[in-house]
Amino acid sequence: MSLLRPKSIERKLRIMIVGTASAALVVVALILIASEFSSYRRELQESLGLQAALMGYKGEAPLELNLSDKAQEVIDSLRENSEIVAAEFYRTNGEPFVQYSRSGISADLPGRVLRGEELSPFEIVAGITNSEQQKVGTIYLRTDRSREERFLQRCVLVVLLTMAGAVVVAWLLSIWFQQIVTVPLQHLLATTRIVSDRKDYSVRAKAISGDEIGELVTGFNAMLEQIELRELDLKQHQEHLEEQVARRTQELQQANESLATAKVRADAANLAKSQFLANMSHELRTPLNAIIGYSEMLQEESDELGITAMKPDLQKIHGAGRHLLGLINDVLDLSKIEAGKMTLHLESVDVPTLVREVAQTVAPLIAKNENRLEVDCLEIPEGQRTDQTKLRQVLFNLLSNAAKFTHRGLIELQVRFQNGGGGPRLIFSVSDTGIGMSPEQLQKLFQPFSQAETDTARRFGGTGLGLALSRRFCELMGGSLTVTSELDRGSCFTATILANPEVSETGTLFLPKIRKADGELILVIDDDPAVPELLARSLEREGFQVIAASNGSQGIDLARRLQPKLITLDVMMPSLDGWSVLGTLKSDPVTAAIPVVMMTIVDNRPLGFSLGAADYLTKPINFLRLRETVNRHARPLVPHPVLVIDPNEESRGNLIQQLQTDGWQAVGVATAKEGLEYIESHTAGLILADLMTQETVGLEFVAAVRTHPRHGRTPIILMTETSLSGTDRERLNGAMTRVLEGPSTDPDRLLSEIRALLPPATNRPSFSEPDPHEGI
Amino acid sequence: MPKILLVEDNELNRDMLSRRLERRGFTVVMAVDGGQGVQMALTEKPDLILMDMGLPVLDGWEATRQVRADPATAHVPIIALTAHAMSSDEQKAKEAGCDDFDTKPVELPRLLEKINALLSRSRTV
Repeated sequence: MSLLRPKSIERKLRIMIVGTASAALVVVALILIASEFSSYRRELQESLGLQAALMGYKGEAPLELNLSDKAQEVIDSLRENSEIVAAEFYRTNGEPFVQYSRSGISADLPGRVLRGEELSPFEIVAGITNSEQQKVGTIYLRTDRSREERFLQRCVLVVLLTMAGAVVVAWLLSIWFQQIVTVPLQHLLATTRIVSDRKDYSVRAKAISGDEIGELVTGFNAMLEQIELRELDLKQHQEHLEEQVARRTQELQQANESLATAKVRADAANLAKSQFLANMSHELRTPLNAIIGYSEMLQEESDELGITAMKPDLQKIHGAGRHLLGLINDVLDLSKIEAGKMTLHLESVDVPTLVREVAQTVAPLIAKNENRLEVDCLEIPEGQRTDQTKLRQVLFNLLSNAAKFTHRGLIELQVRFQNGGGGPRLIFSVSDTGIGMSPEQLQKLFQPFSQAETDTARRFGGTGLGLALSRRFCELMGGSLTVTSELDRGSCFTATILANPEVSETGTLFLPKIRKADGELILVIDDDPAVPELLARSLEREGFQVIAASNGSQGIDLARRLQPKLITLDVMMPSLDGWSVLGTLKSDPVTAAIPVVMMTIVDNRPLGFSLGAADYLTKPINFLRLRETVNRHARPLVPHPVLVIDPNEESRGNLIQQLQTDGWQAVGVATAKEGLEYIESHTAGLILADLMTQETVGLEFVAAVRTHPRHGRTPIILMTETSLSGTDRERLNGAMTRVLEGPSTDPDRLLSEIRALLPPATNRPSFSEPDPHEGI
Repeated sequence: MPKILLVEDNELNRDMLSRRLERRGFTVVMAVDGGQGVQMALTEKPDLILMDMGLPVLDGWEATRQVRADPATAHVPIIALTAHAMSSDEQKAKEAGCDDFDTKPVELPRLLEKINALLSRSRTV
């Protein structure tokens, strides 16, 4: 069977061709042999018959005359004939007369006749008759059998030789014939191999013949073409897509880079602008003083001399000078705020008195448009500490605005004291029944140099700086300035400021009860007032301070100003939803580093995490999870200890204790030299040095730390008891170095400085690493 | 007539204020920097000093300290004049030993009020 199942179609075809040819040949050969054999036999019989007739003719006379010698002579003549192996004459009665046999055995014809045996094809019996046609005897002849065998052998040999030759010829022919079929097939096969191995759909099979294989090839090619087209299409699509992605990525990268560059430039330009404005307004004021002063003097002199004609013009010069001075002062204030140079000066203020004074000052303006002012200032506890110059300026601005934009109306000033979350506050609201503002006007209201309408300045005067400045002042005082207004109905401005805020020596505001040593600030943004209360109850036990924002924009504002350790953010809020708030917080560099925990009924983690949420809590709140989550994200883990250098052992110990209470690790050494030795072998997260009793040592120490490879950017806080000279201060007040002056340093201020100097990234738990030097 | 020492480096301001004060009957002597101011406080024995704070050589705060430090001049009332109404400047001026504080540009009636108040106080002392 294995022969019928060969590997290739080529061999199958050969075997088929050779097999068929051989079978046909065998049949033909058998037929030929049979025919040859039968004609051979016929010839043999004929030849025997002739021989018998000849012998009968020769033996007739001896038989008739009974001459046995003569008969023997006749029969012996057969010896010369090699083919006759036996001969015998019989008398008519059947008796043997004479005989001849090469083997010497009698043929015993009568016996065989009696036994009924048939004669073989090699024997013949013929009757002998005389001239009168009388039978005189019988002759028997037998030929040699071997002759026939030789004939048959020759026949078989010829047939075999012929067949062998035919098979060879058929085989050779089959080689040529099978090619007709197999060559196109093998070509097709090779083509399919190329396609499957190389995935090359561009090759084509050649249609060698027009038969079924040719059709198969054509069909195969058509199929390939389809695949190739599809492949090409797909590839082009893919390339196009990759190209598109690459292009977009590049565009995005470029945009990011240019944005970053633009931001750096803008920041630098803004700072330069603020400094320029501060310098410029100072320079402008000096000549302005002369203009105002001399115009005033001239007025006085013209009064004394009784020259009244000049007075209105002098008044105009004087008025314009005053107005210009006001502008310059506003610009200076604004630029100071923007440059971060505006500070607070707190003093004990009797708020009702201050309000009364402002009301008196503004009275002429109120009266000008026939307005009425009602002041409601009740139950304000005495002895509020605030910056009265700024507060006065804010109130004056709000009231004079109200007076300006109201005619024959009512202006109300309401003052309230509120002691809620985030510390006690003073709330001043100024409402009027004036022309009001449209939502579009409200949007631009607090932007510097923008007034509600471009012709407002012309109609009502003013610089457009007042509200911007007032808002900045309120923010500086730990509060805000907000507005509600309706066109033609009136406006209501609400200024909120912190009462009794804590201020550093440099006048920077500390928010009370917020930046406590043991109370990290958590900002809860939720429109449901119950939520912050619940959270506060749980978190304050953990030592956190919770403040609340009831809507998204307030939350963003508080996050910017208070820089809380963590923000919890409700998703479902009216007007500005949690996702938008999260987006805003994360896109603002000021708030981007603050971890935000989303609080929601709707669990949508992927969206939250993609927008930069730090964690996720679902409502109703599981307080155990809440505390765990808040602790994890809000509690700073400082990777490296704070190095305290202080020659005084007692104050050094105090400092370390304070730092540890506030959650920092701290190590202490006595001298600058020891400090430098420490940072040689360890890493300090921050250096707190009290070396200013020996001023040069302190300066040298800072320089040495700055050149250290690992501590080039380590924050340093220098504490000094004496004032530094300007140049020294300039040398020290570079990046990451702070100088605290004064004989005693307020611990709160110190901790606040440390918090400000340690970058937020190091506060992340993921950056923390076990410090082998802990507790040194 | 009360004698006022005006310490002011800006010529226009000096001219303006001195003329206005003189017209109101004061005798005005002038110094152009802090050092000269301290010197003249000693030599001129003024009844009151108007001290600009942004002065060359010796700034107003330092000059005030020195005037206060000298027993011969320690009693002379000093009004600080600063360029801008910064409360911190007022605080600083008072810490340096000034009795009062006013801002430039000077509003004469207000300044006169302060001058007269201080003069009458020192007279009663």
